[in-house]
Amino acid sequence: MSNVILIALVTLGLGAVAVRRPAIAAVVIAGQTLLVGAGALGAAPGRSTEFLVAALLLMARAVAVSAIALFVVARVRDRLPHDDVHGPLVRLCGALALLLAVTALVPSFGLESETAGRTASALVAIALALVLLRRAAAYAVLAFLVFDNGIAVAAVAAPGALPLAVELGVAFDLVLLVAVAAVFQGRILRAFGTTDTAALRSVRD
Amino acid sequence: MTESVDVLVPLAVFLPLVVALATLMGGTATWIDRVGRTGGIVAALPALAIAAVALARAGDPALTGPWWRVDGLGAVFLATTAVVGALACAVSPAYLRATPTSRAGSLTSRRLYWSVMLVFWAVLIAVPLADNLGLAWILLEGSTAASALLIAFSGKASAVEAGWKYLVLTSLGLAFTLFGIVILSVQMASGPEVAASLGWDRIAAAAPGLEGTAIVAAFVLMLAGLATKGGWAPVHNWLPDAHSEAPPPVSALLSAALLPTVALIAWRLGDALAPAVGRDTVRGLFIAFGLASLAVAVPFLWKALPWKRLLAYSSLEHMGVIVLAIGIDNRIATAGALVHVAGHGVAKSLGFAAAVPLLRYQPAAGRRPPRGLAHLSRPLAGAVSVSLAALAGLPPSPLFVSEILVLWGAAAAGLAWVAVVAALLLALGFLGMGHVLVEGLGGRPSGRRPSGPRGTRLILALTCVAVAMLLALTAFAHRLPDSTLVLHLFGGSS
Repeated sequence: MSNVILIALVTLGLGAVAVRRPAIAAVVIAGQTLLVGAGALGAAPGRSTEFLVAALLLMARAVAVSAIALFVVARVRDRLPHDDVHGPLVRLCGALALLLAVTALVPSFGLESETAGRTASALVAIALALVLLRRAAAYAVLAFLVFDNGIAVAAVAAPGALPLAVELGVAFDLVLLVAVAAVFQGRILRAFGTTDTAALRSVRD
Repeated sequence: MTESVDVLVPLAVFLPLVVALATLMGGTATWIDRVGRTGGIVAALPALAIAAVALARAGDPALTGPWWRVDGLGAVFLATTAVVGALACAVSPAYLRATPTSRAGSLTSRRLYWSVMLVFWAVLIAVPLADNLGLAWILLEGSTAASALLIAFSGKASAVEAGWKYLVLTSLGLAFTLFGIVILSVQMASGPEVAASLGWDRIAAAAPGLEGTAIVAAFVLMLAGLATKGGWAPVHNWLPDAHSEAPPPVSALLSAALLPTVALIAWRLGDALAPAVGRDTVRGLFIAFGLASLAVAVPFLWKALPWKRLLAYSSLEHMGVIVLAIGIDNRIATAGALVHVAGHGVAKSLGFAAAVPLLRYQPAAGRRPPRGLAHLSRPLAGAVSVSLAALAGLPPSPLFVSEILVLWGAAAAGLAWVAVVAALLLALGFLGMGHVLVEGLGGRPSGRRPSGPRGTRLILALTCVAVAMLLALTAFAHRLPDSTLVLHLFGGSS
């Protein structure tokens, strides 16, 4: 993947941390997921047939999970927007701090491109930031996608590292997981009247 | 023998799936329950047969197929998963009958319950058989989706919260494991052993040629992720809520089958990567997780908790013992771990099975500790007593023998401080559970007494079966350190 795509992936991730509405964040992360698929397809020429199949798989998975995520956000709507504890600037700074810490801590793990390794670590950090800093339950689903995008970036930069069968299984699991998370979004809204995770925590108080 | 295993392995995984399909086609609640219960018990037989074959040839190399391996270590976990699943199927109709729903809702929810539970069980059966780290990860992640739905089955707000928390935490944990797997793959591809697969033997063969901080980081990421899924302290936050909110048969599967199965994957991983990461690092991490789990669980065993929540914290304690034994890594502690997995599986299944009549006749036990069980129902009191006494490690429980083996193993490995700390924590846990047992049997009962023997016939039968299994395990346990099974795990040496 080119450096431009890698920078765009991180920027989109940080954008999802900063934007106010879950619907916009879902569109941003769907774009990021599709960009990972496109990047993998772009890297396919000159590589093995197995890599091409894996790249096509990544693209198909990106389309499926993006569609489910967008469907969920469109269908499960809170009557009132959630008041996140921190404003966009604080969230962005928090995510950046986490990103810098994680990329500094994770050692180089032998990918073809050092930038791809750092991007993978950065996306993992952004996924954690989404879970920690955002209150709508939908952000947890988006965090799975961002985390998985980070892993996909690493896998694309290390051709042949993951067997195709494993890639297929991972893709299936991710689609399944996002679908189950979608079911939960509806149940959470029915049970609590909101998808604010602060309301969920109040059950145990 | 190999030919029969070739047939039995796919049968063991697909038979529960066939039963799941059959329950989806049922037209009446009674029919669905009957198919689920009978089919579920029959579906356990191939897995038990595989385990029997593996244990009979424990000294020989593992039998392998396209995606599976049948060995002595996996056999103990496979047999436990099969027994726990069969018991869950036996108890489920009683649970579903006691769960009030409308007629149409009853059919739909029964179909959902049985099909998802049987798929979950089929996945758990496949995990100990998986001859590949990547496949094991896929199966564990697949089990998350199914079990999260089951945890939220009742639809109560607290159950939905528990299911959601479980889904988010364990999925994020397993994402870390996947990140570690990718790093491991990259390292293996660039090392002397170019990896076309993530088979356990391939990883073990490549491990001596791998070194550096990247492989340590990969191992720590994988283990931390597995610890989250396996409910090890300090990353166990989902466990108490999920166990106490899930239907009791599902809680049994979560506690007695899923948690040990995750420990098995961590065990295989630690064994395979020890030459690369360093045996002391691997041991240290397992021992730290084990002692942390014991230390976190024990104070809760002294608290006045509702029955299922108490069993949840007991699961945390017993995972601590198993993980500690894996970390000690000698044949005495390994024997302890194997006995503990099997004994805990039987005792915990009985405990969760007892929750079905307990919550029916004393609904308040869902919110506070049970009281006056000896006056309420003797079969129920018997089941609770056997389960708690066995879990506490009261002789002649096999868990008493296994805990002694683990402590002895720690002392033999030169880890006297570990043995002392673990002994202290186990003694405190024993006293806490004993206190709960005395309080639960005595006192004034609330709720209503069963109107006749029919209401408690099943739990009485299950208690008899469990007692027989526990005593058989105790009789066998002391011979295990010198058995072919354990000696083979240590390359035939003592």
